[in-house]
Amino acid sequence: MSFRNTVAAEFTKLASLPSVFVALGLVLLVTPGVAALNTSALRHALDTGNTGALVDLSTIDAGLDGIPVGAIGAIVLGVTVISSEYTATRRGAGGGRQITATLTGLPRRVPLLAAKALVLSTVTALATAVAIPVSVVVAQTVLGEHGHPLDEVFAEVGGSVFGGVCYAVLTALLAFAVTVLVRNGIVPLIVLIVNASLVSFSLLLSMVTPLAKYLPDLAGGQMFAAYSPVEDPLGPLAGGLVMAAWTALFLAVAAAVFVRRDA
Amino acid sequence: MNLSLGHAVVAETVKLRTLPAALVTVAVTVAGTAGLAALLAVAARDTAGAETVPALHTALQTVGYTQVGFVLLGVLTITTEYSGGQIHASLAGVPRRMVLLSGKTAALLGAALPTAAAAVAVAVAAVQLVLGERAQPLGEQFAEVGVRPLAGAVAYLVLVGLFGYAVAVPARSPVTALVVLLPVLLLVPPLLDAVTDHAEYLPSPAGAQMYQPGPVPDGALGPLLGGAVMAGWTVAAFAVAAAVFHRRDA
Repeated sequence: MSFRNTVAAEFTKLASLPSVFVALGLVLLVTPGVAALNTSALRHALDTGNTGALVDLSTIDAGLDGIPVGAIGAIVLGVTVISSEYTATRRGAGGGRQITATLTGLPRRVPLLAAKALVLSTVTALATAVAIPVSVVVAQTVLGEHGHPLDEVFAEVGGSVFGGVCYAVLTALLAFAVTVLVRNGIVPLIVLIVNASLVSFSLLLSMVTPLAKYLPDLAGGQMFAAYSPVEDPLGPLAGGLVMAAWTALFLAVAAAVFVRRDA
Repeated sequence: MNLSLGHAVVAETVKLRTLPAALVTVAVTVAGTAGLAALLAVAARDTAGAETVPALHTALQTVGYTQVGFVLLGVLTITTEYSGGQIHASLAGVPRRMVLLSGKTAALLGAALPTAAAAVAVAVAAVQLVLGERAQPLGEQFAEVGVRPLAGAVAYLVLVGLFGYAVAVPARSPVTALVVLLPVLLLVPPLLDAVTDHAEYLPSPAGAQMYQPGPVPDGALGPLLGGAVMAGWTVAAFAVAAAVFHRRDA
C-alpha cells in the first residue's frame, strides 16, 4: 500500500471518529469563546478603570487568550486518533482491537505512525487556522471603542496567530506520541488538560526552578503569548524550537517502541 | 438468589480493590500529593524570606492538584465495567440497577475516604518535613485556622470523586468523562469568574470554600454553604446518572 493510500485510509478513520466532532467543536467554539469571555472582562476593567485583578491589559493581542484552552481540542484529537485503535470492542463484537486490523492492512509501522501524524497535524492546523483569526476578530468586536482597526491588529499579531497554530499542532503531536507509548488516553489527557489550567504542573515547577521555562508548554506558549508566568522567558522562535524538540523526541521514542512491541 | 444491598457493596468493594488501575490511581495520588506538597513548600519557603511559613496553607494548596486523582478513581469505578463488557456479568448478578449503582457508590466511598485522609495527612507531613524549623509551629497554626480546613479538604476530595463517578455513568468511556470533568472543574471556573460573580456556585469553587483556611471573606459562600452547593451538584449528577442507567441497555 502506498503512503498516499495510507494517508487516505487514516483520514477516513479520523473523519469517522465521533470524538473528532468534540475536538473540532472545542477548537472552533472554545477558542473564540474564551477570547470573548476574557476580553469582556478586560473591557469591563477598562470601562470602569478598575484593573486590579488583570495581569495583561494589552488590547491589541486580546484574542489570543483562548489558544491554550482551545488546544484541549487538539489534545483530544491527538489522543483519540491512536487510543481508538486500542479500545477493545464489546465482547459480543469479538472483544478485539482495531490496531490488529490496521497492522494487518499496513504491516510497516513507521509509515503508519507517519500517516497518522500527518493527518492529525493537517486537521489541527486547518481548524486552528480558522479558530485563532476568528478569535482575534471576536476580541476586537467585544472591545468596541477600546479596539483597533483589524488590519493594524493582524499586522501586529500575525506572527502570534501563526505561533498559536504551531502550538496547537505540536500539542496534538505530543499528546499523540504519549498515547502511542501508554496505549490509552487517560494519562496524556489528565497531564495535558491539567497543565492548561491554573493548577498547572509546569507553573508549579516554574516557582521552584528557572529551568521550567524549557518545559514544552511554557516554552511553546512563547510563540503567541505576550505575557509569561516565568522570569526571563525564551523568545518566540527559541520557545517554538524547544517545544518542537520535545515533540520530536517523544515521537522518536514512540516510534522506536511501536516498531518493537506486539501492537 | 436474593442479593441484598449488603452483598452488592461487598462485591463492588472486592471488584474495586482488585482493579489494578484503581490501585495505581490511589498509590500515585497519595505519592504525587507528597511530591507536590514538597514542591509547594520549597516555593513557599523561597518567597517567605525570613518569615515562618504557615505550613497548613501550603499543604492545602495541593488539593487543587490532588482532586484529579479522585476524579479518576470515581471515573474508573464505573468505566472499567464498560471497557471489556464486564457490565453484562455485573447486571446478570445484580439485576436491580439502583442496587448495583448504590453498591458501587459505597465501594467508592470506602476507597476514597481513607485515600483522601491519607493524601491530606502526607501533604501536611511533607510540607512540615521540607520546611523544618522554618514552619510556623503546628499548634499555633491549628489555633489560628482550626482543623476545619483539613476536614474540609477530605470532604472535598471525596465529593469530587463521587461527582466524577456520577458524570462517568452516562459517559461510559473514561476519555469522554475526563474531557467533560477536567475542564468543568479546572478551566471553566476561573474563566467565568472573570465575567460573573455567580461563578462561585460552580462545583469546584463552591466546594473549595470547605478547605479555605482563615476567616470567610465578605460575600463568599463560606464552608458550610459552599459544601452544600457542591453536594447539590453531586446529587444532581447522581439523579441524572440513575435515570440514564435505569433506562438504557446496560
